[in-house]
Amino acid sequence: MSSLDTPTATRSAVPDVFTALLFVATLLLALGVAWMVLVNTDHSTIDSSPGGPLQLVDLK
Amino acid sequence: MHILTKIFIVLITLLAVAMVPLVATYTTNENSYRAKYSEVDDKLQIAATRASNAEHTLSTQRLEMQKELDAKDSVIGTLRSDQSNTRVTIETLQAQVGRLESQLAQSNANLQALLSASEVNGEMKQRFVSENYDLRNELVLAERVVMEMEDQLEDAQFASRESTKGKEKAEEERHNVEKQLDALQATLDSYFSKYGSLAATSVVDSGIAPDRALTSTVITVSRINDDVLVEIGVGSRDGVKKDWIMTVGKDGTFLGRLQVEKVDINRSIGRVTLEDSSRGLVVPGATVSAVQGRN
Repeated sequence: MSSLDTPTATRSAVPDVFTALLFVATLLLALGVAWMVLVNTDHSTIDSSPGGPLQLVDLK
Repeated sequence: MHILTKIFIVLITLLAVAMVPLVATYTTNENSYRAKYSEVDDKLQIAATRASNAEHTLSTQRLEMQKELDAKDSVIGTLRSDQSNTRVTIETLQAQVGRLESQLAQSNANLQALLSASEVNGEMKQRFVSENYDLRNELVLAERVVMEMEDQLEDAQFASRESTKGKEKAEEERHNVEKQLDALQATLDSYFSKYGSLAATSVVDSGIAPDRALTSTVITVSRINDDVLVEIGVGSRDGVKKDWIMTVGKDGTFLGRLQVEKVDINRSIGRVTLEDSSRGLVVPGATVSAVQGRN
């Protein structure tokens, strides 16, 4: 029997420093994604036509 | 591993997966915008250059236009001064026109007056010409009369000279006759003293004695048988009167007795009596004399 199959749920793990780092990284990455979404949406908005976060701008 | 750690790992994975297209899109858009920016910047540079050139050209044109504007202003000033001068000239000319019109009116009035005066002058000229013709005719007639009078005057002067000569000659003859009468009277007185007075054999009972002494000459002699009529050169102007008794003689010789029968102004006609052919006949040129108070 592997260790995975063994019942371990008897004792929950404690959040350590990595959890905190991941939390911080998640926040920063979420902020970055939100910022990129806002910036791309702003850049793709041309002549009051609504743009999108993944819309490419063709200015030619 | 804590569940939160797992969740965060999943979330981070999902966010990373989502971040990739977002970043790609951002990068693409950024490049596009950069290219667009470069293009627009180039256009901007070109436009700025053109704007600078245009501004330079505009400033140049503005300067030229300003010069033209100044020139136009000066021309306008000149034209305005010319206009003011022209207005002054027009006013002066209008004043002159007014004066000329008044002078023209005066000239017309003068012309009318001259026309009327000319008409009057023409009428006067015609009258003058007609009167001049009349005066010329009268002058011709007067000259003719003057010529006739001059002829008469010459005749009268000639007659006067002749009469003066005759008068002088008659005076001389009268003087001679008076001498002869004086001699005859002396002879008669001596006769009367020697022989006494004569009987009145030939008394003349007709005629009157002259009231003055007068001497003339016989001009013409007319004989019809014994009737002798003579014309003498004195008349009523000389004081001769009808029935005067005068004596006719020549060169101191008694020729006859003359009784005046007709008296004219400067001529008289008388009848001769006591004519004797032995003493001589009465002829033209004989002397006729009248003695005052003697017949």
